[in-house]
Amino acid sequence: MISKKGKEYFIIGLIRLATYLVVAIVGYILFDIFIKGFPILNWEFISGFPRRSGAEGGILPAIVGTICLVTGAISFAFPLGMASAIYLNEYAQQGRFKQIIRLAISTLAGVPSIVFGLFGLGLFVLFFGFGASILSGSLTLAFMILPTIIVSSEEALRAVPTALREGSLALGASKWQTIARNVLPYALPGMFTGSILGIGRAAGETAPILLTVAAFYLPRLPRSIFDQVMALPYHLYVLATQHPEAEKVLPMQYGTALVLILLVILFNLSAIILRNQFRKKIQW
Amino acid sequence: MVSTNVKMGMRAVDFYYGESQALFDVSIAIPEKRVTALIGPSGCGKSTFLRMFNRMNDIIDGTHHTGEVMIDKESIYQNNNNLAELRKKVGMVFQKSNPFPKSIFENVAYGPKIHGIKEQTQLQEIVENSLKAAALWDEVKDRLTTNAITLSGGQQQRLCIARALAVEPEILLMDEPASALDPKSTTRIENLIGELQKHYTIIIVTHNMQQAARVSNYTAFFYEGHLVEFDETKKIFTKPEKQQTEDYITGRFG
Repeated sequence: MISKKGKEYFIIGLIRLATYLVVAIVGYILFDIFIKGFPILNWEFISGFPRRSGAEGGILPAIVGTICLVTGAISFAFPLGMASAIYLNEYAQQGRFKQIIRLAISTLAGVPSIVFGLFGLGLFVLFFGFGASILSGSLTLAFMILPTIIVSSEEALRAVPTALREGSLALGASKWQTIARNVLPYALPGMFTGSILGIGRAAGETAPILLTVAAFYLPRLPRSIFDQVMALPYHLYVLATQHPEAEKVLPMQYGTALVLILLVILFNLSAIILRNQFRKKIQW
Repeated sequence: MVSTNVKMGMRAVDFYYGESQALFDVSIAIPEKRVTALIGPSGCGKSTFLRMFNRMNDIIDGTHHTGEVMIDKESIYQNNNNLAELRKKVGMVFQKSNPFPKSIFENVAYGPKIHGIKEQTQLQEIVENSLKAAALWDEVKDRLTTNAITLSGGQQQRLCIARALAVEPEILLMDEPASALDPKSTTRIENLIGELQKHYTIIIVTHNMQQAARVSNYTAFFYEGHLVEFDETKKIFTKPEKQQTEDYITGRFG
């Protein structure tokens, strides 16, 4: 018979082990990519154009493409998500209609990314006639990250105490004045946090851009939002599975993966800095 | 009974939160530039009654009422466009002080700005006068730009009073304004109420019998959504008409 205390230690140990395992897996992936990707990382790789269908040269068009797509997706999704969250949390009355909207949002969150890709192909590429373009890809990604942004924006709004709304309304402020001056400024940092998560996802997704924007091999920079572009995740996919010399271009794959990860970290970091800047200004 | 002008009142008001009724057939006439205290056990409808006068109950989903609520002989629920005007006229101080996480200056200037005052010198004047009227000016005049969150509890509550005064109301609704404060801060708030009644009609919800006796001219006793008795404070506390009132005041229930 194990003592009560022994059992306790055993359980805690098990739980702790599970946590360490997660960290270890993440650590291993990052370590592996860093070690194998780092040697190839040089100025030419980052700022050069690919040659021989990506077997040589750099990945600049893919970097620029991903930055365009992420920026585009965020600039569509953030205002839209913010507005939806404001409507849901501040204006919509409790009831059946609100439940249906919430159900729709959580369903949207569960839609597989390839379905988003097909949806984008059908709606933006073909129906609206945007073609395979940055615009189509950004819009598709925007819809994909919308649920994340809505949910975290709503949470941020809920975190603002009701007392602040009441205090403002009691002074004769209208509902919109109250939201704009005494709710939104305090909720914005939380909303940024949500977008951080969205950005990470948008940058890494392959399936939605596969059908709406990504070029297999396009060694030049985009000139307008109606251009096709290369993108890092898709380029990685091409190098790993579609390239005739997949084994030989292994270092290029690791380099691309590393750049993608660094780019996501960079996006997240700048969003975190922006958020902290806001926090400092608010001083709860 | 009431010797001065009537400022505000209710006629046969029933109020409901969804299905449950919170006020039953309440009629009252509240005198101008006097302090009226609302007493009664928790959940008796005091706060609901108070929030009828600036229509703060409107923001809760699923509430409705019948009967008439009047200020200056006008029914305030008739016209939906004048909500801002109404709330400008009827200031409110909440139980838990709710300073905005902005500077002291911005807190007081919030209301005037909402109502369209932009000029900085005018705002400065309003802020100074309001803080003086709330007996807070001397303590904060050198740090108007610091965040209001850094003030003590008592100071925060006086800031909220200053913020309410800044839009030049005629009526002040106070929902247990001193219940979360220490005795010294409570005394300051009570003295302040004494000063303010010269210019404002004040209704104050309180759980503290002594406080009601100290600060008010009139007292209304609520019980389970009914207005049981309303009279001059000294009468309520010495010779109440109703047995229920006497039982509550002497601490036999509630």
